[in-house]
Amino acid sequence: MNFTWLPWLALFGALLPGPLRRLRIDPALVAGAVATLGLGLLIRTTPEVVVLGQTLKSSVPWVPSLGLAISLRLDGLGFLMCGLILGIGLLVVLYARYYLKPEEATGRFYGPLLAFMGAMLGIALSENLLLLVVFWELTSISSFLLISFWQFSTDARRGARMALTVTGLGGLALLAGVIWIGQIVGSYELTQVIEHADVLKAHPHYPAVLCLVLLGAFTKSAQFPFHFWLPHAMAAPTPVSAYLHSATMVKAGVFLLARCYPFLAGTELWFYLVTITGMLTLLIGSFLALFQNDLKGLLAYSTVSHLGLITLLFGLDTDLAPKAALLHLLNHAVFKASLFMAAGIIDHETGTRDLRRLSGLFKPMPVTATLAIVAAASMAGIPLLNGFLSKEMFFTETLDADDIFGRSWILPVGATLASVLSVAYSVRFVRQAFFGPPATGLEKTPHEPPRWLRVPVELLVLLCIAIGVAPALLVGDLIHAAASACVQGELPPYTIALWHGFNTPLVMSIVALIGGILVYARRERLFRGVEARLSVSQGRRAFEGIVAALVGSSQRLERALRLDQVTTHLRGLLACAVLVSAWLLLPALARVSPTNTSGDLVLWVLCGVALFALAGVLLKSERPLTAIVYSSIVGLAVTLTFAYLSAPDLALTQLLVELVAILLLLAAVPHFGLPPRDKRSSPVRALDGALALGVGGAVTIGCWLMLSTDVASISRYFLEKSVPLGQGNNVVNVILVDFRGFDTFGEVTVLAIASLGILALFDHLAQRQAPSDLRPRTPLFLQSVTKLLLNLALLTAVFLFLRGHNAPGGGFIAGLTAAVGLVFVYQARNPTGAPARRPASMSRWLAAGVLLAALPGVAAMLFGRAFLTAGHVHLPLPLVGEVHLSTVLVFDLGVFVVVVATVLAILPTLGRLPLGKPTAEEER
Amino acid sequence: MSHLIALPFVLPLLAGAVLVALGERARASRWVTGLASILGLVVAALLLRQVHDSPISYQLGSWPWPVGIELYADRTSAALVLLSAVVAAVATLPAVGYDAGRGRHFLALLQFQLAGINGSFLAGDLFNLFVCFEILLISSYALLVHGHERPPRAAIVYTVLNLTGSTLFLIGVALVYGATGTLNLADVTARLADLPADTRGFGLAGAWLLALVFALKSALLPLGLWLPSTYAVASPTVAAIFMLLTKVGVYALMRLYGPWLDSSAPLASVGQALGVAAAASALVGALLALASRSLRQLAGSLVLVSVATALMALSAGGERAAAAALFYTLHSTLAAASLFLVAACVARLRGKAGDDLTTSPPVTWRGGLVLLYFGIAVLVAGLPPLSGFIGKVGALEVLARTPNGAALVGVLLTASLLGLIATVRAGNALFLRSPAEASRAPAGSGARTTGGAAALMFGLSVLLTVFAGPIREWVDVAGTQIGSPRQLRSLSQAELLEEPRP
Repeated sequence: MNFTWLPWLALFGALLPGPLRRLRIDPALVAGAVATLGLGLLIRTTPEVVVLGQTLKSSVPWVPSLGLAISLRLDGLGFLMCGLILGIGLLVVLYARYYLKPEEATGRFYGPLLAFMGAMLGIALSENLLLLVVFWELTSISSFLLISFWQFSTDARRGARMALTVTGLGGLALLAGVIWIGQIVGSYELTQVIEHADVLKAHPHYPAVLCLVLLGAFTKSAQFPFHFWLPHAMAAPTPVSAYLHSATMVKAGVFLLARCYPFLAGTELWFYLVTITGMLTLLIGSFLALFQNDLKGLLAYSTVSHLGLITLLFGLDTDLAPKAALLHLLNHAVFKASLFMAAGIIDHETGTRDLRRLSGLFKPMPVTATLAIVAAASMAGIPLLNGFLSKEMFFTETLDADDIFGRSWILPVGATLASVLSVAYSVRFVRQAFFGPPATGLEKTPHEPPRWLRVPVELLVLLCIAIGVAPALLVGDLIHAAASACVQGELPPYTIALWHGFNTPLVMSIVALIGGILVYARRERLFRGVEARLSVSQGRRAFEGIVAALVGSSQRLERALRLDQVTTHLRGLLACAVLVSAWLLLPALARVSPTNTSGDLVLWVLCGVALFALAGVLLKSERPLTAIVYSSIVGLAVTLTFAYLSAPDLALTQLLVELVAILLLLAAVPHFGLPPRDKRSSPVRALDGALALGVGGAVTIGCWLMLSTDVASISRYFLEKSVPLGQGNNVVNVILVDFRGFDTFGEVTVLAIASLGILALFDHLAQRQAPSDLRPRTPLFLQSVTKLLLNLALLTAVFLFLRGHNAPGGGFIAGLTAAVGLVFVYQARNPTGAPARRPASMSRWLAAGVLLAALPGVAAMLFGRAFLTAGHVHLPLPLVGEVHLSTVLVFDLGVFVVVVATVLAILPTLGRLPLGKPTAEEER
Repeated sequence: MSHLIALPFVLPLLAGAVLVALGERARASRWVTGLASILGLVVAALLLRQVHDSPISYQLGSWPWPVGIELYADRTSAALVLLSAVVAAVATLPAVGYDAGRGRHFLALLQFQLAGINGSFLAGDLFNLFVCFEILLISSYALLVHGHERPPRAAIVYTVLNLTGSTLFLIGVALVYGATGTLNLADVTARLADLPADTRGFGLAGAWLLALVFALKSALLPLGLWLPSTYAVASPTVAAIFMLLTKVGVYALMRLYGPWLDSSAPLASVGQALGVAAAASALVGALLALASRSLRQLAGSLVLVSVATALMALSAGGERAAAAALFYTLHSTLAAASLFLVAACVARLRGKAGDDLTTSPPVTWRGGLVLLYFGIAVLVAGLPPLSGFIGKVGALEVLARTPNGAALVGVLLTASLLGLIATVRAGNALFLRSPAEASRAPAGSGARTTGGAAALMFGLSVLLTVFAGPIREWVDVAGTQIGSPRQLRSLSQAELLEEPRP
């Protein structure tokens, strides 16, 4: 096991607490074990990484094609982060074990916590930038789960969503930035990117890349103006706040600044963006902290300000600024985690975190109070504690840094001012919680917490003091290694020490201390009225306003689009079609000379008839019967056109289709309600009219262009090979059953499916209303005539079917012919619409037809030929002569069966439908 | 001769016919459906292996190319056939017991639809593509109204719109045939890129009409707004299978226009329009997701986004873009299908309230379901580490290289963010906000199977994530096949007449 196991240990560990609970193993134990094991692994690398300053690397490919690899590196910087994550993680697990109620301390808590730990370790160790993004977003997700842990609290859910949205936004920006880095450099591997830092910084996209990456870092580290999510994340259980929202996750942002330091920093743009953002955050955070009444709120804003401080340091262009930043990163994690835990203890033992209600806690809980006071002193930057060291360094660096906006005083003055405020809120925290008269009206009587709840705080505070007293001994090497890894180069010699002589930074510290106490003492007079205005977080209000506006406008958009109207969609589709056609067809039209347009008088007449009838259909659309009659005229004209143009097969088919269609339509008419009234305004009607004309025009022009050019096509093959290879004189039929039999097979299936669909759909409708008895009976005369007609039709069908391969006819036409006869009989015998057969039995026939049509095709496959290859046999029969048998006949029989069954399935179903009214409602 | 390529079409079709013949015999129907699912998976897997080295072509009816109808499978088609086999197999698991009992011929229609879908992925012929579209559409009309007493409004919209689309398809085919004189898809594609002046106008108009129809099927703006409300009325298991329908549109766009998108051929302009339309689609889809009132509607809106993402990637042009689009398509189908299945599970647990995004009645049988929902939310929103992220990185990478890269990347990421907000809001309403006492009630009818199917689908996405490396490499080759024109023999009329039958 080496360092590469660190993230996976925790990530896979995250899966354990749930299942292990069944074995009654305490999930905290699992989490603790993972953290301990991780620490062990990490410490084993100390000699190489910290002492020798080496970088350990390993790489496993994941998606090589995208440049995404599981490449990990452990250098000083990563070591520092991992140490924090694992060390504080271990303490937090211990703390949570005693903080949470036993029924809460389940896999639902430890699972995400471990997942978070793994993701954080992943960020610290990623060598591949894309992989870093992966872990980055994982921390957002696990943080969401942890903040919303108490899901029944509105604040928790809201805070969780806000955190996820804001950090999610940053994550996406970071992803974009990383993708662009990859495009510019040609690799996502950190080593490569650092090598090509000059190319990157000189690239025209550098400003965009920088902004995107910084957006990621700033949202994660709660920098202004994205700072608002962090205080709301405090709705999480306190162990989570201590771990994620002060010590580690929010540090991911500043860690990213450190990681990108070698290849993004060092430009004017970086200096201004990072420094100013850091400074603003530092000031705003410490100012707002002063007015928080919630203990955790105060700590949250304080965290915001300290993150600003670290960011500010990374922005500075001095050699030692990164070192100061990393030292403060460590120090802040230590003292802030202990403060959060102390706040949790107070909450746990008193039932409130409200500073206005808390008072005089020193007496009932002296140990906790002492610990918290020491940690708060460190936060305020009191000497002999670790906070003092990094604050001194911070002051030094602000003095050494370049002028900002040409003024050298801005940075030091801002830093001092922020420190004044920081001292003031630290004093407020201590003074109001622990001193003064004993608190009254608390839910619980304050007392010291259980022993083990305090141990983590004790250890952390001990560390505060130890680092404060002997920094070089304890963390000197570590910080040096981390800073070297951060800048990827040599650092000037510098020893972190308690005493650097009497210098300007010390003066600034003293000013901050005295100023802070003064500000606290005079706060009421200084900030009168400010507090009331700060009661509601502006950031939250803005955020929720934006989300609500988004949702609202989306809903309005949805309504405005009128998506439930057929016309909306049809207009869109047809308009697109017309536009495209106009764009492409009109220029082509200009190029074609009208040569072949004289035509034939008969055709013109037929065309005229069709147009006339079509107008009738449109004008009479409110009277279905009349419209059907008109449409039959259109059909007839088309049929005659086909016949006139010597296309007997088409003419026959068209005629029969018309017949069956009209018969079925007539059967359906009684079920139509009144057509819906036209409610369109006249401009809309005009537009629709224009659209209709456009579609018609486009089709006409398209046809005309197509017919006036001669293109060599595959059709000649069909004509020439029909007889020799297709064994049939009727080319149309050979195309249908052989050349393109697969299409026919498909279309037959379509027909069968359509009838099945109708059967299934009308099943429901028909069940609701029994057929009415009020319809007229058919005269006896008609009944006897139809019988004759049926026989005739069936005979014709057989004839048409058999001759189909060589003369007009075939399965489809024969099927329609038979169907027409059957429909007549049916109409004559069943005027009441009672079904002759159960439609279910018709579905069997449909299935049989499809199977029959497939039979020769499948048989061909068994004979080693392609699906639907036709087979022919010539049988010399006595008396009859030579008979040509072909498998396409079976295929055609399938077509025949499906066609007949379709008609017979639909018709009785129509008969069983309820009359008129319900369908009318539907139409409206 | 290997008939493997015909089987993904023939088998479900025969299975459908047998199921129709079986009628109401539920037990036997289940067996047939199960068998068909297993056979479908086996066939698809074998096909995938067969196309590993080179694409295969199959001349139906043993007529020579390009006269006869060709079935053609390269890596892309085979991958999509496998995808549809998987989605169909998993989504029918809960449908067998539940939906099948709520109307007739349900399982048969599913098989028919699968035949149409597979046929579309394998069609090497433009008119045959139309026929396969018809098969899947006509089944979808019937499946959409399944379980409803009367057709819901959205179903009518869907049907009318698609019938119109079919008409345009037919007109487009006619124009293209008129200009190129051929129906073979590869032949058509090659000829469209280089049309003589006198046929160019209407030939391209035909090609554009086809593009419109495919855009309609794949639910691309401005033609795609039917999808969320339509899928919101479909039975969720049906909606899960409907995921494949949009992919048919995407595939057709890839197949017909993919080779030319980064060329100077006149068809390249389709790509530019595609890019713009897809960008708009992604944004509007994400906004509609925010406005959705049910989980199915949310899923449907996110389908708009996911299809748009794939097509944005495709529109960048080139082989890598095609590969990115294909990978994203694989991911998004599984992801959206699992979201629909979760919606089905929620609906079955809550009875009348269905999958509406309301707090009450609370979703019973929590725990696992909540976890599953948020897992799928991560998947759908494209958050790491799941396949959505890997797919998105692939798309972003090709988009970043285009001239308008910054805008397109911005659109994609904005849509991602909105999608994330929408899924989290929905989860918040359904799972987090509901009262605590509703914790451990027994699962409702079929909820357990449905949840299981959703989990299975999610598990497949996890596999897609873990094996993203090899899969993406495989897909890269698929991208080279689809992103460049197929090598064709060009035959003169005389030569064609001398072609022997295969």
